[in-house]
Amino acid sequence: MRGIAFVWQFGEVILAISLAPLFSGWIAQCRAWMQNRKAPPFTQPYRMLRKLFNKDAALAENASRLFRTTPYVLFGTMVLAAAIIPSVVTDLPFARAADAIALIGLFATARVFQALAAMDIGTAFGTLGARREMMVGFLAEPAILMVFFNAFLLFGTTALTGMVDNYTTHPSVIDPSVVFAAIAFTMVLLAENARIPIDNPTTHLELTMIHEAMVLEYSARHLALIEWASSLKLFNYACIGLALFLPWGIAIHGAHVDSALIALSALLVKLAFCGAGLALIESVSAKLRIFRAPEFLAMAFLIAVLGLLVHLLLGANANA
Amino acid sequence: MKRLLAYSSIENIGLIFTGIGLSILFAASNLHLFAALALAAALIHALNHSLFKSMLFLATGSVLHATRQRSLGKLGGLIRSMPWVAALALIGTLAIAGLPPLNGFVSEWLLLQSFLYTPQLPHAFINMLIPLGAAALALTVALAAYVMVKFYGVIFLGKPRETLLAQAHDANWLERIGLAWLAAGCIAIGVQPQLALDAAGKSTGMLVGQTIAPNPSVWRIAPIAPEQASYSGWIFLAVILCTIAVTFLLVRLLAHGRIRRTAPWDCGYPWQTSRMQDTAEGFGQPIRHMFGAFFRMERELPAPTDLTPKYRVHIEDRFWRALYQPIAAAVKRLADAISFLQGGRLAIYLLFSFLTLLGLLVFVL
Repeated sequence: MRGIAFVWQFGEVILAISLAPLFSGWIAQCRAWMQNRKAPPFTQPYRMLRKLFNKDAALAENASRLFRTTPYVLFGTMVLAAAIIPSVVTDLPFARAADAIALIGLFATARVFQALAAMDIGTAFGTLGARREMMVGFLAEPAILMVFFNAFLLFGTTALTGMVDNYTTHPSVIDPSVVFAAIAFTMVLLAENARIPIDNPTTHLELTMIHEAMVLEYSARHLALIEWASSLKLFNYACIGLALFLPWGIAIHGAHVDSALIALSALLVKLAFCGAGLALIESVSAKLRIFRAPEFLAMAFLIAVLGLLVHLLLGANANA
Repeated sequence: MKRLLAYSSIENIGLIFTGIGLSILFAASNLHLFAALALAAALIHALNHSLFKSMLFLATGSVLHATRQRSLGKLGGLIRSMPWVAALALIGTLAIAGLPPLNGFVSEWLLLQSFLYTPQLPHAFINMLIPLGAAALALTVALAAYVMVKFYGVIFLGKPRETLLAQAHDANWLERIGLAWLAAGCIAIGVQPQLALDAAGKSTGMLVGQTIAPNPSVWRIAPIAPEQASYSGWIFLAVILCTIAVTFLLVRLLAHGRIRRTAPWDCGYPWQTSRMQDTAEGFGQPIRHMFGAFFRMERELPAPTDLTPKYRVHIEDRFWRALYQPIAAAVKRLADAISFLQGGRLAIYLLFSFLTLLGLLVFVL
């Protein structure tokens, strides 16, 4: 039976890797529709990747080995994260390697590697991007930790698969604190994935860049891997959010082909709505000044803490 | 360089004491299992700190030896002239920044796990305050990562800020061994934390009368119960390394490995000099901006019409002026007041000793 679990595990990782660019393309398409522009086909990210993989890599003269290894490291960490997050089935052998808190650590590893690689060439924009990325990262971490703390109080576990199991077997666990946690999580998702209130993924103005400034020196296959890794990161974050707040449909207690098919179609529907929602948020909000970013993330943190307090207060009342 | 590491020691000792404090809190409420967990986290963090901090001090020693430069602002680009030290210091940097799969992460993870069980404490008020402690812990750890990126990036990455640095030589093999065994320790505790956890379990057994839950297998740790939270450094390392290898092979097979060396792009701006990168101060600027209230800052900004513009900023810890300087001044005043005793004649000093002895004898008898 364990062999079957590994097959599902492998299938889920492949699914995440192949669907991630599609999800980014879907968001871009929704954005274009909402802004009354003609949308690029949502296979555009795949074409981009193919083009980049076929180009010759132009590498700065003084680029070190760290610079060339980082794209692979980023891709590796994001694949590992995809292996841990239950998006279709919960019987994942690798999921036991990490709970939600270790997952934060994994994303931090990717971030540190990217910031270091950005500093490697020694250009002004690279270091600027690295500095800003680390700033956003260290502000986002307490907020997302509070979200997971809240989830632990609700489900008694920090393992994501365990949370999904508890959620779907006790659907009555609906707590007002979940709403706060979901809002805080969405804000962190936007900040961590270089989306609009914090960073603009399509910007061409260097001084406002965060993520783009860090990858300015990359080209061809290295850039392709980084872009793939960052779309995988967005996909992973979306799947964490779905596992935490909308887990219905995910196949639990060992997967069969029919339950997995239901889970897969549920995932696609949920991701489609999630992508449209993200596109809506991005269309109606403007990018913040860089020093307003701490306020945005502090608000995410406070909302998460409020959720926690609501839960504790209600719990205290229930006990009294 | 060393001052940055010394401040980082303060941070790590704070983490260790957080663990001890939590442990006392749990023990006082008779939650011995959680007390053991928090204490084990503190002990393992102390061990980890001894590994990665000594390693980073040795690495700065090697840098100092090779460049005769102890100021962060005059280093840079050493990864090219000192690849060994740079590679080993990278492991130490990632470990101290608390990143998986290295050892700093293990103890911080255990500490956060013990924070998760604080709602079982029987005090409602403390329960509401402690999550903020956990958030402060996460903020500290993330800030440590920020600072370590700055530390590594400014010393080893980028362009050399001084022309002399190009002649820096790599460490000799004795220095490399000194760094390498500490790096090996960082990796070993990171992927196989069971060993450290078992050792710490013995001490917690003596101190709070409870060892931690046995590990479910040799591959992973689960301090309370495997279905609640577990962590496996092996899977982390193995999956990441396998993915890297597979991706690398696939890229080579399906695409190609051609590389063209060019000048840095930097959005097409020519005339990039090494002085245009962030300095250590520049990299820390967002922190100064956000936590401005905690520092005392003196700035000197040139006026637009200034013919000889000068930019100066001086930053001080508020504690320095509010706490340490008054104490130092009081000690100095006291010393001045009794300095008349120091006449310089041996006979008088002997007389003092004799009188002291006499006084002590009278006191004892």
